[in-house]
Amino acid sequence: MPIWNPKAEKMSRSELEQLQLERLQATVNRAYRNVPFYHRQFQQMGVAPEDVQSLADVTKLPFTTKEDLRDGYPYEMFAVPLREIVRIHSSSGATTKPIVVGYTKSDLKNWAGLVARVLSAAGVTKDDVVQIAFDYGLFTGGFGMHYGAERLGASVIPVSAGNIERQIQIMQDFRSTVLVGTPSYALYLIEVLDRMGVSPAGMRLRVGLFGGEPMSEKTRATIESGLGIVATDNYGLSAVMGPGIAGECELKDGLHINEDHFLVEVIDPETLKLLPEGESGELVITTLTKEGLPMIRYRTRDVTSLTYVPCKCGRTIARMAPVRKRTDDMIIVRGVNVYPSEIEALLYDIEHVEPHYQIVLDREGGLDILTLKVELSSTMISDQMQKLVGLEETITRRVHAAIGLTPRVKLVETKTLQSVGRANRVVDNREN
Amino acid sequence: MLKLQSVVTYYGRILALRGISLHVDSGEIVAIVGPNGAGKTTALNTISGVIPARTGHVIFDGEDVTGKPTEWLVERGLIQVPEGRMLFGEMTVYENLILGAYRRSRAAKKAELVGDLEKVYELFPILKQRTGQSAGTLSGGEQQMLAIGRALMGRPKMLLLDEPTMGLAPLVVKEILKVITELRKTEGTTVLVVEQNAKAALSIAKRAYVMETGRVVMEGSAAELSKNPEIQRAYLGKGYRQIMD
Repeated sequence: MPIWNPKAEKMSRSELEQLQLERLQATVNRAYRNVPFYHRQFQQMGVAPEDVQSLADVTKLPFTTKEDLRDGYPYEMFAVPLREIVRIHSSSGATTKPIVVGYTKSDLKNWAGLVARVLSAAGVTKDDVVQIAFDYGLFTGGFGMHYGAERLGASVIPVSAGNIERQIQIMQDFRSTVLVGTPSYALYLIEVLDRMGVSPAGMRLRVGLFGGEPMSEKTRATIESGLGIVATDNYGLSAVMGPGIAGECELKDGLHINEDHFLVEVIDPETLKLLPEGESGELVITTLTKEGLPMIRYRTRDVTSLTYVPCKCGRTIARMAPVRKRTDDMIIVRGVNVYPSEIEALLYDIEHVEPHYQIVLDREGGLDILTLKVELSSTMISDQMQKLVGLEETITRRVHAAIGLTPRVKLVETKTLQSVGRANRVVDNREN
Repeated sequence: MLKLQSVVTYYGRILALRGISLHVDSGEIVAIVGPNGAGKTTALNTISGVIPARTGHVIFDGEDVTGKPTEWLVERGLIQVPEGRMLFGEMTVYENLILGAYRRSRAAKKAELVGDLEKVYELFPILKQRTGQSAGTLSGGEQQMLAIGRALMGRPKMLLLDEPTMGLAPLVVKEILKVITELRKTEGTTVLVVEQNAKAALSIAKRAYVMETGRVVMEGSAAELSKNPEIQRAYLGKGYRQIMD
């Protein structure tokens, strides 16, 4: 099992901790000096960079949330002048402001190396043909995995997501051996292959790296048997860097975190206190080497637990449990992050509907389907067919503009959804 | 071989080091670069025990040596070549070199000392030529060589070099840098070099730390740092215009 960077991935804990301390202090010094947001936060909390005298002191520092990044739109959180930023990515989101992330040349170099580590851990080598089925664009997934695979020396096919027939054509003709994408896309692929009567045995696929959404063991098993591959989980998020933060090795016993570049904590999302090793809580990440957009204690809202016991693969870097749930209400539909509160917000702006809704998620033919049930106001005279259709269209259009997905809209009678509590706003029928 | 953890040092009431952390592995050449007043010399002086750290730890060869006296560290192979060389100007080249072995002199056999002296003369032939001359009459470059030679007489495991190229002509700088690289290659000497001349330092170091006003603000491989636009602009003399072109 080739380890891409054995010096880093098999470092002794004491060496790693020294490196983390040095990098944490340098990062804090730079952030405090160059990012007004952090300067203010530190002053408000009465903390100075020199108060970080040990790794444990990271708990003295302020958290950063997605809202902070949104408030800093577009470039307020950058720690270097814009001329040194050579790449800008952004997350989806149209009703709420998207988050903007920036990378210096050095950041890009590190990013590619870290993704190379994750690919290598999954068993990918330079002899592989890697098909990247993540969208190329503002999303960090496509480009992130691409440059990592290129660094590895593999043959990279930047197919992007979508157009499943072409995806399959390329997979067969170009003899792809590795698939990179979301687990739901893999499930969709299996359905379509089945429909087309194409057996995966005829293809050369052997490894898959899946991220962007949770992958249950059941889904993993389905993908592995459906495509005849080894399916590994990997983790990343744009605010912190993109893919390459953590990934499973072939032993699939936790995702190895690139700790020499990211300092991780697990906190109780209510009390915000640090939780001990092994306990489940919210993952908080501090970047240790990023220049363009350093992040201090970024609250990911992803739930996981950590272990510092070295893996049998030989890597000494900490491992996190696969992320299966969130601390907030965000859902992932076809790889897209959807906040029900965003949908609720736009319902307020539409006449004749109440902001009482229910989101029902199903999977049909391998694809996630989002059905939005919306309650009509009493002001709506429901016997006017034309008006109802128009209303449905309006809602569909607005939701699509906000989240990038087209929902199935079902208008329901007044007062039928009012009793639906917070907890039942989302009904997820997908077997994940 | 050397680790600093959140070292805080005061000069009287003045806070010179605000909690710096760094490490040097065996056989590495590591540089500390940064502007005047950054605290680079203070860092070396704290490591060598000339000024005690207020808080934080200095760990040498796995042992916490914070607060240990300088001569104790010299005996264990941690030797500093100070800023401005600090040679004994009235004494000869030979006498200066011999003094470098002072802490070893009782335990060491005469043959060893003679052997070490020969080695220094081999490394710096010009010193052999001037062996009877007063150190104060040597040129800047020769004085620097003498200072390094004196340190070598102590059989260092690790050399702390404070501004070795300061005030020297470019050709001499080249020679000095060559010697430092040679030392690492042939003797396996570990080196921590402090330099305002970032270009010189980054050309021989494997890794470097950038210090500003008592803090480490950046660290990384020397190769990466020399390509960093901020470093280039601030320390490598590449003008604003050049960066924009």
